[in-house]
Amino acid sequence: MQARIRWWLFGIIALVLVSLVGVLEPVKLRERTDPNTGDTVPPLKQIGPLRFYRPHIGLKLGLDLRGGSHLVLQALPEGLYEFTIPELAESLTEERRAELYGEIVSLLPRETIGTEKRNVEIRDQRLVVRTRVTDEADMVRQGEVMEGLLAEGFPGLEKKVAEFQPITRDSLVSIERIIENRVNPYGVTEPIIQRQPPDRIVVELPGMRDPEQAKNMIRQTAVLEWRHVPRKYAFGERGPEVSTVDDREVFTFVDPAGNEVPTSDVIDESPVIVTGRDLKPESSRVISMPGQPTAVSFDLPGEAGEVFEDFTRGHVRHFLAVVLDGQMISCPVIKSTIPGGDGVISGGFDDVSMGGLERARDLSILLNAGALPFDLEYVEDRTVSAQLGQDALVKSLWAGLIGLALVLVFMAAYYRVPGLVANVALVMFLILLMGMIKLVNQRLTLPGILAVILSIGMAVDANIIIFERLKEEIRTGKTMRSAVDAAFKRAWAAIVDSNVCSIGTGIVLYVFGTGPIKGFAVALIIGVGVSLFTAVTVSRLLMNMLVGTRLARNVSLFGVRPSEVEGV
Amino acid sequence: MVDLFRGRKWDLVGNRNIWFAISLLVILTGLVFWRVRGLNYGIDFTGGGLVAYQFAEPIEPGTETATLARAREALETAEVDGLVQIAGTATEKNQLLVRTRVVAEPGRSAADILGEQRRSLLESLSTTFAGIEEVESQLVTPVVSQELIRNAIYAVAWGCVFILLWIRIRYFDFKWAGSALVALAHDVLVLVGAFAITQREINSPFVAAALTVVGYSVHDTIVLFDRIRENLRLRKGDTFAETANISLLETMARSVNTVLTVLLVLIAVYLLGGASLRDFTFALIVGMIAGGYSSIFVACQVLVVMKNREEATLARQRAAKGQTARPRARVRPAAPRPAPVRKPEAAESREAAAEEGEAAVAEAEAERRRGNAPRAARKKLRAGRKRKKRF
Repeated sequence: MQARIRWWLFGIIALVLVSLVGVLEPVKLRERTDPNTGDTVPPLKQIGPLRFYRPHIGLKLGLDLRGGSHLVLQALPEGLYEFTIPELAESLTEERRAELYGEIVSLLPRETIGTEKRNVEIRDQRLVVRTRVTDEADMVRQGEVMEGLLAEGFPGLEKKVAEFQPITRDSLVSIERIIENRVNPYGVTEPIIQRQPPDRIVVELPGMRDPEQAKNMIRQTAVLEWRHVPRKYAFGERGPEVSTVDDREVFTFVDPAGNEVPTSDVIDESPVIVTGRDLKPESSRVISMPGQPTAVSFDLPGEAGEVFEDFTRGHVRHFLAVVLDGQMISCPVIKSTIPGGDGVISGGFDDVSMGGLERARDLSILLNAGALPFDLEYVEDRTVSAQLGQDALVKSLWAGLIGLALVLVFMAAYYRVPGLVANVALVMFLILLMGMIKLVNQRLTLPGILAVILSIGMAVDANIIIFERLKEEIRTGKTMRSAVDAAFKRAWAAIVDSNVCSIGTGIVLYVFGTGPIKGFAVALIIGVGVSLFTAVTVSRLLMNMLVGTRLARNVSLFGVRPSEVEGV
Repeated sequence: MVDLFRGRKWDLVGNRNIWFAISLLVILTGLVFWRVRGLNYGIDFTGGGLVAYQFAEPIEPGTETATLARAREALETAEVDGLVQIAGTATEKNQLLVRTRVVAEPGRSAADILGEQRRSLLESLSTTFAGIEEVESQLVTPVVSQELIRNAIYAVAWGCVFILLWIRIRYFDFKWAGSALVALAHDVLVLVGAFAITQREINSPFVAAALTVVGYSVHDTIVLFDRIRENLRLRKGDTFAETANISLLETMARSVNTVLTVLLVLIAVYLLGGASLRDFTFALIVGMIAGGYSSIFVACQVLVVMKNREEATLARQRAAKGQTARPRARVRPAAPRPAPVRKPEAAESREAAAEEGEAAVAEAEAERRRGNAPRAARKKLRAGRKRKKRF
């Protein structure tokens, strides 16, 4: 055998072996980790630095094969407004202040303003309102509507500030971080949390048993507020009635006349004392001791702590409403001063069968991760169960194998000896393809597997072009060697042109496609690329090897009838 | 083994009107169905919710209508407004798909609404079908579906632009690129028509399949164009049409075999693969067949038509200028001639017979030039050829 051919042969075989070892991982120097669950696998045997394992297919799988959720969240911009009202400029008693607050809030019903969310605060002597807006025009409109509504009750009103708060790059980064902190405690393997500027976050949670809880956690704005319930609704012995509905605690309030008041109204009329934004990060814990109610601890350092302490000192026997995202989760009575801002939130976490402990844990996670600077909304949600994914994977692999077998038989039957060459090249192609996929760390999705299966057909095509050409060259009476050379040379132009187009559409698909389609595009591009390589190098090598042998003399083995050869 | 296409002297270019007619028929049927029944757009493009359930056991064949009726009742009980469909592999149907409308309201986001729908549906369906489980849920809000539509259009547009430019660069002029594009348009129309007729869902995978088919069909067409280009160099004496036809015949084996091998694997996946891939695979199968057909029966022929027109225009221009027509400027499509290029070193008897055959052929040529009916000419040609072939 020529030396050159020998080198090529060794090279190709080496590549194939490396690919095989890379994908099947029968032996490694380091520990093997399952690419999909992240677990480390113990070796069967270890000799020195070499660890031996059972061979497996060590490729990463996409969500549609592993099961899990693909979520896209959109952050919603807000409008910030500040108003001055002469009544607020005077120094007010607390009662009067609370009264005014209630009046103001009742003047601004959400539906009339046309917003999903509306936060009202009295800060210093200004009225600060935050609402959710769709865009800048909406912000302006809402500002004008509010001005009109408030002016009816407070003629001296002046609008000082109307600002559009878009999602800034910093806030998106912050949202990303907060979501990470919320997801990590769940111990999901390799979650993906990615910013998609200008205002979206992509979250992928593979293999989660019950993604519903996680989805709720991720989205929750988690604005925690401590509000002072007005005396008229609760004071001293007269507190809200607590009942359990589903697995939540529900608080029912009555007004002085004895009529039931909706809890949301009570919340609306309760001014905010401190919010979760003031909490010391990472300070919240679940406290669960026998004989005591389960509670979530918190720590309000610095100025907020002082405010809280002062408030509690001056309001013993009043009720504090603990409100999370507009839902009252606890309503304790202030028994004594709460010093230095250390406290607990209890109540509602004790019924273990109703998931009380989980809710306590979730709350502490939310407090530690922090509140989201903007509200989030799901715009896309695709969730596949692990079982479905597994099913699809197995079925598709079998289908692919059978298809492959059919192709191998066909090629051998139609093209004879070159067909066998093509088959060997095809098998090598598949091995190298798997190796490439492993190398670039590409996740295989279900369409990706389809792309691999498709590229089987395309890889064969290059060989078919060459072999049809070969038949023609043989027919012109050339020697086998020169026929082979001519065939490869002439076929090259056609192969390049046509494969460039396949790659081109693959790139277009990658750019404009999402999720599984991107996986399809990448697998297709890799498939076409590797097929170009194997068709030309491997096939050529094998043909060159055959050329010198006796087989080469018998043209019928190449699909050519001797009568067709000119010059014979 | 017999090489099916070797030695056939089919006139694939001359008969092009037949192929055009067939294509038009197929495409028109598809278009009529499109107009009448519309296309079944999936949630990727309409927005909404999709929930997939798996039965405890695959349903008995033939009970699909009954099962769907029971499912619809369950939907009514759950007060969910939606469409139901049965899905599964080719052999076993074990999934129920429910598509719902999800319209966000103030206070209830799309995700909330779908969550509620899923809860009610599971409750209601569990009573009707014991052991049923939810296996998949998808939510696409209008914001996202609009983006997906836009991206799909861009993808197709850019794909075509790329192909147009590439062929233009590698081949002589826009006529080549144009014919390839006509073949592509043909493929896409056939594909869309197939989906209009079968009412399968059109989602993002459909667009991916369409683009893949486009890429592959062009791939096919280019192999043919490459051969035509080569033959144009080698066979200076033939008309464009003749060269094209010969090139077509020469590449036919390869075209058919390639489509065959790809179809083999795709059909295996279609029959055996998982339920979620079926529409995708179906699109690829239809597309590959259309692509193969268009490469053999459309692209080449359109190119010939364009080239003939070009020649005709040039001939007119030259005639107007008073020059004589060049030998190559023959307007009517030619029947294929046997390959005259390589002269074999044959035994004398062979040569004699060959000469005889050649004479007959030359006579047929003369007949044609005299304007005699092509059929008569062809008859003479066949006679001449027969004499040649006996050896």
